[in-house]
Amino acid sequence: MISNNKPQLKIALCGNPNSGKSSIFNRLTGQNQKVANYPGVTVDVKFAKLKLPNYAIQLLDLPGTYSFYPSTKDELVVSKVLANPDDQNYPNGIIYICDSTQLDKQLLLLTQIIELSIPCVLALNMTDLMESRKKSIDIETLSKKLDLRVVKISSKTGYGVSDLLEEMDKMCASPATFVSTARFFKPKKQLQETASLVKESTGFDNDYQNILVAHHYQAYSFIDAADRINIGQQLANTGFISLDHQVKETMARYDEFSPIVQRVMTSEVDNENTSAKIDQYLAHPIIGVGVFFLIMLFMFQAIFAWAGLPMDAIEGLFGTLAGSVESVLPDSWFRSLLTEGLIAGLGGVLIFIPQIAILFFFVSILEQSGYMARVVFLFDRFMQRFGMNGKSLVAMVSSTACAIPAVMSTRTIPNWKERMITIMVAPLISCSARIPVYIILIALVVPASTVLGIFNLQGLVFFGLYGLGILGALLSALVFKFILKSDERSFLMLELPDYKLPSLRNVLLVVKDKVFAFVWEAGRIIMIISVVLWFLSSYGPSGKMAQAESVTSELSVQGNLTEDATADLLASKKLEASYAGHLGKFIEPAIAPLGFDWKIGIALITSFAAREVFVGTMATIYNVGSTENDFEIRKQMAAEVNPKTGQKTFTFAVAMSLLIFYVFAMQCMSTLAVVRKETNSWKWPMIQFVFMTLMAYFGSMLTYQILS
Amino acid sequence: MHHSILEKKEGILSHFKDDFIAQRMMSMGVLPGAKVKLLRSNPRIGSYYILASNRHFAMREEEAKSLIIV
Repeated sequence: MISNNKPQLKIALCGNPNSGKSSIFNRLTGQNQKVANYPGVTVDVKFAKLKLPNYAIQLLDLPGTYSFYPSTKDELVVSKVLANPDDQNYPNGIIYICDSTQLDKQLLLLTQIIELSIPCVLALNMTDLMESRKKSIDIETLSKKLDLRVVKISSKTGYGVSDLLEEMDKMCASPATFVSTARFFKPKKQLQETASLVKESTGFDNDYQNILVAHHYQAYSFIDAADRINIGQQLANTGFISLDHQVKETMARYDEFSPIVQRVMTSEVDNENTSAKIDQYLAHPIIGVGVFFLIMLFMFQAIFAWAGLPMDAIEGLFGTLAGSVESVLPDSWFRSLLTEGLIAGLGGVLIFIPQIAILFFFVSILEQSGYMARVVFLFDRFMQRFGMNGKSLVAMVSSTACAIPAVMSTRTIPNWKERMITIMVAPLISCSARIPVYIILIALVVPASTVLGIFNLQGLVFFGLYGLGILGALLSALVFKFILKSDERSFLMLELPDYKLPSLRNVLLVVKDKVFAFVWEAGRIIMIISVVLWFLSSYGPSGKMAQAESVTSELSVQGNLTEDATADLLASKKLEASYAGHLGKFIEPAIAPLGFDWKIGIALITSFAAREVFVGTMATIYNVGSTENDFEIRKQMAAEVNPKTGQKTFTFAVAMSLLIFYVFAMQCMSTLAVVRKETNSWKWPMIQFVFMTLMAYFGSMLTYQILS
Repeated sequence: MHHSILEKKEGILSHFKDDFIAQRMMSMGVLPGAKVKLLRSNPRIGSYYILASNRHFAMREEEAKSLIIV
């Protein structure tokens, strides 16, 4: 059997939010999924490859939604894909995931989907939970009434996954037998007429497809402009009121399927809910807020406390590696490229894996446990003061990992103004890419002493920088609140899902994905920049380089310098004469008021591509600028002396000023690209870039001038 | 008598005062006839914690007001 020749088909996972859809997706695809949301790539839907006995499947994870009439842009994607057979993601079949403990509420979307005559299998998730609650579902009757195959599965234990894969294979083999003929909604005469009017523009034979177009024609990009005007006019003539029809359709569907659910499910007893009990504390206006801050503080302490050991190990490993390369290879430009460019740059990236892993570990536990919804509840009013929404805070918490998923997650905010403000200020929250910069600089100037018995002083400063980012975000939000105008309705109706223990498997899968994405995506940029930088700082205009050598030998003779001191002097003179040196010198006047010299200037320039480049840049510059290859970049920076003043380059004032710069500056091209995509205009990323850079520049200047 | 859930803390949902909210709540499985109960309200945080159809929801005053119960 040649597996490459298997027919390629698309299957989509659909379901309500909190149906366990994503866990099933992880179960089905395990290690092969492609989560494309780190630098450079963004997609609306997650996808993964899956091999069935007879077919190669591209599995799509569509956003969770309660119905085809959602309140957010994110959820509209579902009907946009399913109502348009020409869509590139239009599936050959659907797996509908339903939380079996919520069967009475989660069938609405399914009844809408089968109306589109797409082959479908119903997967009842969390059947293990049903059994523990001594409830059961009459699968046979349900299957008959819905005219669908029904599979029992458990995302937690993996029970039934093989049955589901088998059904998927069958669905691919004979799709027609998987199309349900059950109907739960008969459009009234007026709506039928509307559907046939829409059909004149769309040509769709399926009535329900046309009805969806009538509701969403303005948001469906597959309807061209002329048709849009046409449909709009006709709908206006017939007096079509979308919301009115949505309510009627929803009611009619419930009337049809509720009796079926009552028949197949043993009656539900009142849910004496442990979640509500937990929420007496976690959703309490004082205790709950306190707990939230404790969780955050713990998270950042953990990043500092737990990451030290593995960091030292990685650092040591790269030191040894560079040392052995030096001893094996003869002195040449190639060895210098290897040790000063590549290994230094690579080490600079890999050393931050521990922090990033710990951060994503916590963030994904908070997300998967259902706690984030409580955060929305607690902080909605507070965020409204800043022109945002409770969900904005969730975006900000995920922004501590990376601004890109945070900006994308704002699609769940229905109100335009609240969403725009969130997008604009989320990148001010310190992301994982700032961690390297913070750690290096804090370790340089803040002693690792213990405060109040339990707190690590460095950890507190670290936490303080995050606090500063949050403050900056809130204050800028306030400004945007008064600038932006909108009279769109703002509302909050959010389900607070039951708490559940996050599965370690899913959490580790997220951590693995993110770490891999960091190393691969960010690492590539850093490696390239390291090599380019090595070149720029090793070579320069030939006249200038020669001049550096002659000046050095003169000084050496005059000052009666030792051999080592002469070599060091030569290295630093050469760096100054190099291309990178020229670049740094060029911007030095602009950054001098901030306390930065031209070497830091080089790092600032390269950091505008991505801020984590800072450390790699520092490593390269200081390695080239020194005769000894010391891979412990922190020691090198500590030892660096400003030749003009004869004092240490990284004084407290300089390090603080630099930290403030990195807190506020917009130094991430990927984020700007995503903002451009999410706002459909270059205007917003431009504004964002300018206001953040100005904040960084003046904040930094203020810090330096006060401290020095 | 018909009251919003803010006045009468517990009861059976009779209807929604507002179609916009009706559509969204119904999609989430909360329909007229459902048992609803106001579990927590705290003016300080301005959002309301509501049990409806055996599930928990967070909403603002504006939305909660439109849940009319008997």
